[in-house]
Parts: sequence; C-alpha cells; structure tokens
Amino acid sequence: MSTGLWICRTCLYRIARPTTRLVQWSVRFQSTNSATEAIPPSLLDRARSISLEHQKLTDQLANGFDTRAAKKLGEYSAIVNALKEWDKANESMTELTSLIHDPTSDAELRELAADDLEATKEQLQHASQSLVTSLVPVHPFAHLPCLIEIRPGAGGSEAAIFAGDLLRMYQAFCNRSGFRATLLKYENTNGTTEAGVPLSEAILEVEKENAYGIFRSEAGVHRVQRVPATETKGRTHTSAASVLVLPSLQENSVSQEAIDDPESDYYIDVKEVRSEVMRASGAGGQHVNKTESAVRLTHIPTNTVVAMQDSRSQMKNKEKAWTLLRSRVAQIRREKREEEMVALRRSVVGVAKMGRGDKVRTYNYGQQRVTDHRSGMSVQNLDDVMEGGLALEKVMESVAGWLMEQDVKALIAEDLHKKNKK
Amino acid sequence: MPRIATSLLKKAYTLDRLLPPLLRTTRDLQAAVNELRWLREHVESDPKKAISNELRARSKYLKRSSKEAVSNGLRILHEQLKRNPKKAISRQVVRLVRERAKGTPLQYLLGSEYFGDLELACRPGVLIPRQDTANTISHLAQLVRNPNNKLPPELRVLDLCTGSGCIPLLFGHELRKTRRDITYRMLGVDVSTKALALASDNLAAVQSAPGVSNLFSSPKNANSEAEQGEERQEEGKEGKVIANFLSANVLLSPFVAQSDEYYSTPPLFTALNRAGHPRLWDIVISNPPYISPAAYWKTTTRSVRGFEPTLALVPPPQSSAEPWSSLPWIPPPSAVQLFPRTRDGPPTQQGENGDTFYTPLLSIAALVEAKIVLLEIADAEQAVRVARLGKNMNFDGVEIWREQPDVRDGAPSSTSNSTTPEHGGNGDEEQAEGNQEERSEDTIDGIPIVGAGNARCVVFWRGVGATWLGKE
Repeated sequence: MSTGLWICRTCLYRIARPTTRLVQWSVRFQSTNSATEAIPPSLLDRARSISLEHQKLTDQLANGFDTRAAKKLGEYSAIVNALKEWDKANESMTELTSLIHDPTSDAELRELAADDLEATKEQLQHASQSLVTSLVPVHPFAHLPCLIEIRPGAGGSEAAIFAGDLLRMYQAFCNRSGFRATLLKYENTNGTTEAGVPLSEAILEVEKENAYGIFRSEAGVHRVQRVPATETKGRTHTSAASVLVLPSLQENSVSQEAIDDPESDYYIDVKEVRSEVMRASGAGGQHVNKTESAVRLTHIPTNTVVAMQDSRSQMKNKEKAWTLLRSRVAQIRREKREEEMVALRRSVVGVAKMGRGDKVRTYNYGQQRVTDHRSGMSVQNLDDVMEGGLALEKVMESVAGWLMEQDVKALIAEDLHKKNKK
Repeated sequence: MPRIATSLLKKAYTLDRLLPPLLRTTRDLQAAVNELRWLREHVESDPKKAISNELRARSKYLKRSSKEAVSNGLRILHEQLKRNPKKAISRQVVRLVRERAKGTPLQYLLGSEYFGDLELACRPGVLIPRQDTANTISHLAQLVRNPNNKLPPELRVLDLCTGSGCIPLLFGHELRKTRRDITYRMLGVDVSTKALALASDNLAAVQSAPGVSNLFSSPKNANSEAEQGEERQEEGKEGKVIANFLSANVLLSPFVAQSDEYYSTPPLFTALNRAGHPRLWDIVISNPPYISPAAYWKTTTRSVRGFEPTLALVPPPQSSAEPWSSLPWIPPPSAVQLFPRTRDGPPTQQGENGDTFYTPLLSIAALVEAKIVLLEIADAEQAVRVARLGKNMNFDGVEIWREQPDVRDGAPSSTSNSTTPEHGGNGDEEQAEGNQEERSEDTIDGIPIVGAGNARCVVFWRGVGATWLGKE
C-alpha cells in the first residue's frame, strides 16, 4: 500500500490541467471596421469623379459660356486643385520609396532620397488635409455650442452610477481642453441635486464655438461592462447610459430673425406652446405668498415637454425653458427632415445606426478597454479615458474620421441617386 | 389642513433630514426641495454673514460667564469658524429651516423676491410682492408701450398703497423696453414708513443694477428734478424714469376735522401739494388691502397671516372712508350700489367685504383725471362690486383681468393647481390636468373678463385711455 501524502482531489486535477488555461488572454476576435487610412477611399473616389466632371465642364465652357456651368466649375476648382496637389505629392512619395528600396541605386542617392522623403511626407499630409476639408460637407450645426444630456439606460442603479461617471468624464475632458462647461441641470436618483448619488439626468452645456462639431460623435448608447459597486457576488454586469448631444441655441448663436422666421427650425409658434405656471389652489393674490416658480412648456405638435424650476425667478425659468424647448424642437425637426436622407444612406452604405439607436461604445473595466463600435478603435487605457484624457480624445477623433467618411459615402450615394433619377 | 402622510415624511427624510420640517409649511415635497436648495445657496453665497450669525447665537449661551471669558471664547470661536466656515453655514441653514418651518415667508428669510425681471428686497413689516401682480403690471405695460400709442411726452403713473415699491419700479422698467422716447414720472404712495423706507431702498438698488442703471433717476427734490428732466428731453429724444415715494393716507378726506396724524401722514392731495408733485396723473394703479376680515381668517395661509402686515392685507372698517362719499362729485352710496344684495342672504355689512379702499381710490382716480385705472381685487365677486362702483363714476369702459391676462382666449395654456410638473422633461409624458375653471365665460354680470385663472384686477379707462389699452 502506498503511503504518500494525502492530496485533495481538486488540487490534483489542478496540477494536471495545462497552465496556459490559468492565464486569460484578452483577445478580441472581432473588429467592427477597417483601419482608417490617410485619406478615406470613398473621399478619393468622389474627388476623382469631381475632377472628371470638372474636365467635362471645362470642355463645355470652351465651346460656349454657361453661367450655371461656370458657377459649378468655380465650386469644383478648389477640390480639383487639392486633388492635383495630392496626386503630385503621392507620386513623388512612391518614386522616393521605390528609389530607397531599389538595391541597384546609389548609396548617396538613397541618402538624398531619405532626406527628401520627410519633406514629401509632410507635403502629402498637408495636401490630403486640404483635400479632405475641401470635400467633406460641414454639419450645419457644427459651429454651435452644444448641450450634452446624459441619462441612465438599462441596468438600474449601476447605469445611474455609470451615467455619473460619464458626466465626470466629459467635465474632465472639457476642463483639460479648456472648454467652458456649465451644468444646466443635475438631478440624482433621489430627485435632489446633491453630488455623489447616482445620476438620473444631467445636462452639460459646453460653451465653445464649435462644440457641437466636436461632441456630436458622442451621441448614442454607451455600454459599460464591469463589476458594479452595488454587486455583492462579484459578477460582471452590462449596463448602458444614453448620451444626447444637441446644438445649444443661445440668443447669440441664433439670430432673432431665425427665431421669428417661420421657415427656420428654431421658429416656434407661441400658439402651439402650452405654458403652465404653478398657482396655489384657492384664492391667490394677497391671500398666499407662494414660492413656486416652476414653469412647464409643452410644444403640442411634437409633444415636447420642458420643465424648469431651478431659479426663484419665474421669468428666468421661463427663458431657460424656452431656450431648451427651441433646441429640442429644432433637433426633432432636423431629424425628421433628414429621415429620408438617412434611409437612403442606410440602404446604400449600410451604416450602423446613429443617434439613439444601438450602442456606440463599450467601456470594459475587466479588460481596461474602451472600444468604439463605429470606428472600430480600441484603446486599452480605460482610466485615462474616464478622466477625459488623451485616450478619449483619440477615440473621439477616430469617430470623427469615421463620421466624415460616412458623410462622404452618403454624399456619393446621393449623387448616384440623383443621376439615376435623371 | 390635511395631515402630511408618514410615507411622504419618510421619503423626505431619506432625501435630506432638513426636508420634513420644511414640509410643514410647503406641504409639497418638490417645493420643499426647491426651498431647501435656495436657502442653502443663499447661506453659502455669504459665509461671512453665516459666521457672524453663528457668533451671535453662541454669545447668548455665554452671557453668564465673565466678560473676559466671553470675549476670549468668541475670539477663539471666530478663528475656528474662519478656518472652517462649513460648520457655520450648516448651522445657519438649520436655523433658517427652523424659521421657515414656523411659517416665516421664504422671501423674508432670503431678503428678496423676484418681481417680473426685477429682484426686489423684502423685509418683515412690508407686503411681499406677488407674482400675480407682476403678471398684471407686465401685461398693462405691454399694452401701453405699443409703439403706435400716442403717449404724452411725460407719462405720469400714480401707484397708491405701493408697499415695497414693486409696481412703479417694474412698470417703469417694462415701459422703457420699447418706449424710450418718453419720460415716465412714477409716484408711489404709502402710509407705512417701513414700506416707504424699503421702497426707496429698492429704488436705489434698481438704479445701481447693471442694465437699468441709467433708466431711473430719483430726485431729492421733485421740483428741481422736474426741470432737469425737461432739460434732458430738449437735448435728445431720450426720456427717463423719475420715481418718487410719498407718505400719504389715501383714506383720509381733506374735508374732515384734522387729527394729529394729519400732519405725519396727510391726505393724498395735501401731500402732493406739499411735496410739489403734479395734481394730474395719467395712470392710477393700486394694490390696496382687500381681504375681508372673515376671509382673512379663512383663506389666507399661515405664513401670510402670521408674518405679513395686516395693514397691507385687511382694510379698516368702511366708516373711516365715509367722508369720501360726502364729496359733491361722488354719487351717493345708494346710486353707487356699494353693497349689492347677494342672491340669497342678507346684504353684506359695511366694512365686512374688504371694499373700503375702492371708493376713495376711484374718487382719487377721478380727481387726478386718470385715463387708465387698474385696481387689484380678491375674487370675481369683489371684481363685480368694484366694476359697478366705477361704472357710476363716468368711466368709458371696464374690464376684469384674470391672473394671466396675457393668455388669449382659446390659447392652449393653463395653470395646474399646486401640482409641480415632473422634472424629467421626457417628451412622451401625458398631460393629465386639463383646463379647469378657466375661461368658462367671457363676461361676469355683463362685464368682460379676459385671461386665465382667478379674477385678479379691474381695469377702467376713459377717453384716450381706451386707445392706450388697444380698445379702439
């Protein structure tokens, strides 16, 4: 009979198991999008087609003057010039690289080529940048300051906690980038404005001129995967918070004419708004000295409700509520008008849904990873992202690039659509 | 008053332990939350005051010890509080909440109230400006400042029973928004010295406020300022607001035997004469005491009854106003039908319906040749009584305004009764409450009534006043 040490069975099994299983590899076998190039291919395609058309127009103009063609030519010439420059830079770039890699070339020549390469690279970068800016359509609201609304989504109090984290992330980002950000509204799950309690709604106003252009890529559902503070058994939960980004229509950003002009998005007929103020039941007048100053506005056609009770002054509450209502209604109208266009884009490009549709980004605390599902960009530096650091900026830039590419693809699709119609 | 539900108290306590006492006064959680926030903001905005209040409170406990010990103790405490003002702030908040729980109006605790665009000071002993009054005044200003109106180069506005001076200040501020070519002469009259002191403080505050700074000018001597005003008008077409406050007793008739108080607070015209103010005024506004003694005990809230001056709320019995009806140009009471028979029940007794002020006010309005007269009233019944009173005084027209006179008929606007709106602002919430008693009729006893809410004031006009109000 063998008299060895007694070893528990689980430990024995443990020894038998290959050690590699003990280490978890954080590998993602999935990527949502191709890596971004210097210039998106779709952009280049569009530039080429435009330059072809430009050629055609020049020929047409040589035969006889046409105002419309001339106008179009003027519009296109900037793009064509940029493209020419880019082509030139690209050509010299390929030439130089081939020279360097060619084993038959002189050592001295190779050195010279290497020197030149740097300058050409810079030139190419410059050219591609000017090409992109000349091609990409600018979002009509991009120049405006913006409102970032954060609300918890699915996931109960963990979602509310994460919503608070997101708010802090954006505040830190604004701090770091030197944008002035003010909290318009802050409400935690208790219905008070005390900080540190899970968030139920927050509106952050970023008072930077082109803040909407910067933050508009942030809109959507942000997903978090982590072990919540409220979890007792150490299980990982998946929750979500939604981020809504609206252009902020302050008095200085929207002219009075735009508000008065019935054609404008910002125009709201006073008759269509039900305004409610708090009134004490009963006698009123000298009989009571109420302090309620809450104002609620309802835009009846869109059923948009805005309530404000932050200030003691009813007038101030009313002003704030009108500002908020204007921007919400303008956003709704814009979305409505663009719905057709979006449907068209989706049918052609097959873009992931934007706005409040699917999740746009995942924050995985277990793997310390942040992945944006639109650009396919993943960064491992989650803490830096949550502190609004450079990593967040990197992610946001990648999304901005992706958005731009989508815009261009959609543009091409629209062009095609128009041509087909003709 | 219904009991506050225990569940509500519990909920309030979990939010903040200071909320349950506030609920005693506000009866509504959201209102309590708002008030607590405003109280906190108020105290935090001035930590020095919080520290000094804390020291004052502590010194009461130290009184029995020797003088040196007290001063030493206070010095040490002061040092401590300076280093850590949070403690003083939180104690001050608790103190204010305790006051508020007893019913002290929040406006007295915070020392201010918003009246339209203006933030005016409030002090115990003077009526707190009401939101309804602000609505009425803004609406009247909106009508009068219409650019098509042909206004005199100097528009004179007389506000009787001015209290904190809110009406002349807001009216002038509102009128200036579109009509800057005209000089506005505002005169607020009150019998209470406390009210007059507060009114002049408010005037000074409005003058120094940014944005309105050069709008108001208050003369020390009315005569010299009047000259100055004219000079300025000749220079450019820029008018201004000249605001003054005057101590006078509106109820006193100049024809009665002169008592002692005659010299301290003389009748209106005597006072006008003495101070060198003009005798004729274009617009007369008044928010007089109008609550009947019975209604005072029944309908006013605790914080009104216990903390606001009765002088500003309940008029004295009718007898003191009697001499007015003996004036030759005022029709006798029988013709005026001062006390109409109610449908069922005995005729209302003199002085019991809170109408004391309206006969003198309307008589004064007639004597100063007012084109527009606006009088605040308690309810629809009083409105009808006052309107009848005015009809016998040769006014061209009369109208009753509700709390929100700017809301047009048929417009989708309503006021929800003491319910706080959901704070969420999600686009899909349903509107539960509909229009309640508003706009059920367009006339009461043949008198047109406009706006939404309870009846709040009666407007009379005569001659050119009709065009100013946009009636023609």
